[in-house]
Amino acid sequence: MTIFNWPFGQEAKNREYFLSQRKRMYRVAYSWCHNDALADDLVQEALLRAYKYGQKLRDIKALDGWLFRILKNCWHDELKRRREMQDIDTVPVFATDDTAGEYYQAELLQQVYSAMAKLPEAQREVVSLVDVAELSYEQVASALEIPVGTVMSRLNRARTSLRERLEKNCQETVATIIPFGVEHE
Amino acid sequence: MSEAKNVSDEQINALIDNQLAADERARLLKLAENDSALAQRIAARRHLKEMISSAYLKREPRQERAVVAGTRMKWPSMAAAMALFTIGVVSGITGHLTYVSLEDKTNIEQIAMLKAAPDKMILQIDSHDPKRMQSALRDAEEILRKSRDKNERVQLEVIANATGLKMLDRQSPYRDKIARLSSENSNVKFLACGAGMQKMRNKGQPVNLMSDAIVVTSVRDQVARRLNEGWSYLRE
Repeated sequence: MTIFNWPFGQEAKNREYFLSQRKRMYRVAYSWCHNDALADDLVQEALLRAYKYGQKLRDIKALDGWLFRILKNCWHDELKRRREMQDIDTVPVFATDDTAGEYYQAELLQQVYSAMAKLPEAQREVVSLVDVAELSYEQVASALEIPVGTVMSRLNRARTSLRERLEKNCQETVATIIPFGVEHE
Repeated sequence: MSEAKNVSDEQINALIDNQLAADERARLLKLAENDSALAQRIAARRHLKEMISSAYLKREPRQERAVVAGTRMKWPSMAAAMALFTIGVVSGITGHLTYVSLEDKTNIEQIAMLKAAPDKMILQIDSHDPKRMQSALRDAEEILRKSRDKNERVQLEVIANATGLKMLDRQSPYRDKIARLSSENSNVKFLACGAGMQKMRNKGQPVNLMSDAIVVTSVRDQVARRLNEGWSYLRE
């Protein structure tokens, strides 16, 4: 006996799209909070809200910005509740086989996480959405509800700060000489 | 070359982020070919971008593997999964079922696979917020009405715990509505969490239950039992 029908059509498409974005959303959430459990919770909460309010959205191009705006709102709600960020010194050092990959040692990862965590919140949100979620500037502007110009200026300040911090902390890695011929199309 | 020196960091960002129009992109790349300082600035930014994206690329949600049919899930996961499943369908009907809070890490992909007919539901209310209590009763009423209209008999349990127990108090403003729902629908039960009642007593705020309410051991045990029996779980 079935008394309720499973969504179909646009709703089903949107639902499928939301589900497909889970890992991507998780990475962004993690880059904001640097806490596995919290990142999981934020994504879960964002997906719930997306389910509830996004079933009828038809513009698939706008979904990305909209979805990450929800994630941002969940994150801001969490910040309001906590009113303080996790002390980055307490963020665990990750084992090499956990996240390091073939190019990055755990120590370098830790430096990146640390540098990201020390950015002002507004800058961290922008750089995460651009570099981790790979959103366009317009999508970031939509997600954060700020002008594109603000996205660009925050991104620039964030990258400048990140480079300074990473150079200071792990010069041998960051200051690696990059081969000339920077554009490999 | 002055033109190369005038290229701003924002322009370099836009270049490495693929945000430039084709002609502007080509212009900057041409400048970089002839200016090693600009090329190095671009390379440094690109390297930084790759560092950031790579650092997070391998981070994965702590999700459980997809459930194979017949595999029993841990109850909180199942509760969460069923809650997520049902919120999608029930909210569309009632229009006012609110946020479902999850206390467990759920593999949300599981929800899409869940096809169980939610003809048996347990609805939890854990707050004395009037809006939430009203919403719970509206949802219960709507679920019962829909099933009656379709000549389908849903089984519904409304379980109250924590301060939500006040909904089932004899002095509750919802007493008459609950009494009416109970008398008109033999397929609905109003349950009170025994553990929660004890806590309220300990706090000096005892709950005097209305006669329509049934005391069960605890909300956790009851929900776990129902989920194991294939019921759907909703939370107001």
